[in-house]
Amino acid sequence: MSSVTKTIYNLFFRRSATIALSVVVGVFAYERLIDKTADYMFERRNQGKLWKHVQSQFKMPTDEEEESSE
Amino acid sequence: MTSTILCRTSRQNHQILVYVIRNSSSTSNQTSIRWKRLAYQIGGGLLTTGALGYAWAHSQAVHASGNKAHLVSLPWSFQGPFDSLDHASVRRGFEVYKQVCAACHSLRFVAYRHLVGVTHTEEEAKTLAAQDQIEDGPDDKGNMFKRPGKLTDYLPSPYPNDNAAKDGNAGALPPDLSLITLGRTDGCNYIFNLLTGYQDPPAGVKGEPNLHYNPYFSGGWIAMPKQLYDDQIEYSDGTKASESQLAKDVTEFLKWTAERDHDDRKRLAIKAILIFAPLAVLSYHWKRVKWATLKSRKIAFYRPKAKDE
Ligand code: HEC
Repeated sequence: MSSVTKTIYNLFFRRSATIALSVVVGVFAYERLIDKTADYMFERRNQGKLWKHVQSQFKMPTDEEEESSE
Repeated sequence: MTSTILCRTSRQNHQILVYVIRNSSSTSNQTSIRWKRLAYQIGGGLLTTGALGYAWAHSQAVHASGNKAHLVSLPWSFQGPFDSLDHASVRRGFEVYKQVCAACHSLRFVAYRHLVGVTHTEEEAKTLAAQDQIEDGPDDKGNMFKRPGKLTDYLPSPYPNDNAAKDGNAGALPPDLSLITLGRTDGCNYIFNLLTGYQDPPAGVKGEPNLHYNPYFSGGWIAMPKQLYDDQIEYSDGTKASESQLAKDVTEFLKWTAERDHDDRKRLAIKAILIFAPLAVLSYHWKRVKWATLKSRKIAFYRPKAKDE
């Protein structure tokens, strides 16, 4: 084992208490990371197509529209 | 030949029956197994290619005997596995539905609240709902009454029931449009082609009373008259409302009504790939670790002389 892995092992994996804690913290961090990355990728790919990108180009439906829909 | 005995099994009378030996050099038996495996791999590959080729050839059938025209495929912006709907188009499509199709077609599975964050802001959706009269009740006297809509209401239907709808359309029922893009083969292309496909019947074909010629409809005669014309409505974002624009937008809207989870689904696909790709690598490694001893051992069966004989 190299010194880095050894330190990591001693710090996080050796004792049940620390491994349990690292799992809890790790899961949280990993979930956040995946979530943010996926959202970023999805919004990059669909730039200009999602509602929050196009919202500003529409104005409130006018009274005129209300009449023609009846 | 270097071989180590890993373990052995024995019977009650101490006769050793099975040795498990770790063996480093390969034997002729292993070579033949290798050839067999290669043969299986090639055979499996050929079978798979054959099956895929057959499926592809089958999908290229011309359907020459069908009773409707072939659909033109459009380059939908949501076609790819990670492509979202174009929400500007969905919004315009809602405007088309509201001002044109809603006269005959219901949209029973869409509520105003579904529009929030998809085609409208919350404010807009509330205003929209309040403009419609929704039937509610019964009140204290047991009567149904009308009130302005709320976000939680579903869009009102143009007819109280199917019979009234048939009566208003010369006996033909305008289907609910909520799930129509899923309910027809190649739904989006079909609806676009149907809406823009009205034309004069070919020479010599006799007209039908109350029916309109449309080669994309099964049989060619549909009870729905042509609906969309250039500049028929005014879009609230100023897009030019050509006939094909109207048809494209309403189709994209109907795609959304049928699959409201469309965008979330594709977003989740990215997440699933990000999570499962490392897990797949890990599980492959785990498998290799666990199988290492099993793959590199050899089992030999023989009955050696018993010690005490
Ligand atoms: C005048 C009333 C009317 C209007 C307005 C109307 N339709 Fe129809 N629609 C009908 C009727 C009636 C049918 C049933 C046709 C039949 O079965 O022959 C129908 C059928 C359909 C079908 C089903 C076709 C099939 O394959 O069975 C679709 C899709 C459709 N309409 C979409 C639309 C869209 C989109 C709009 C708005 C642009 C619209 N309709 C506006 C009356 C209408």
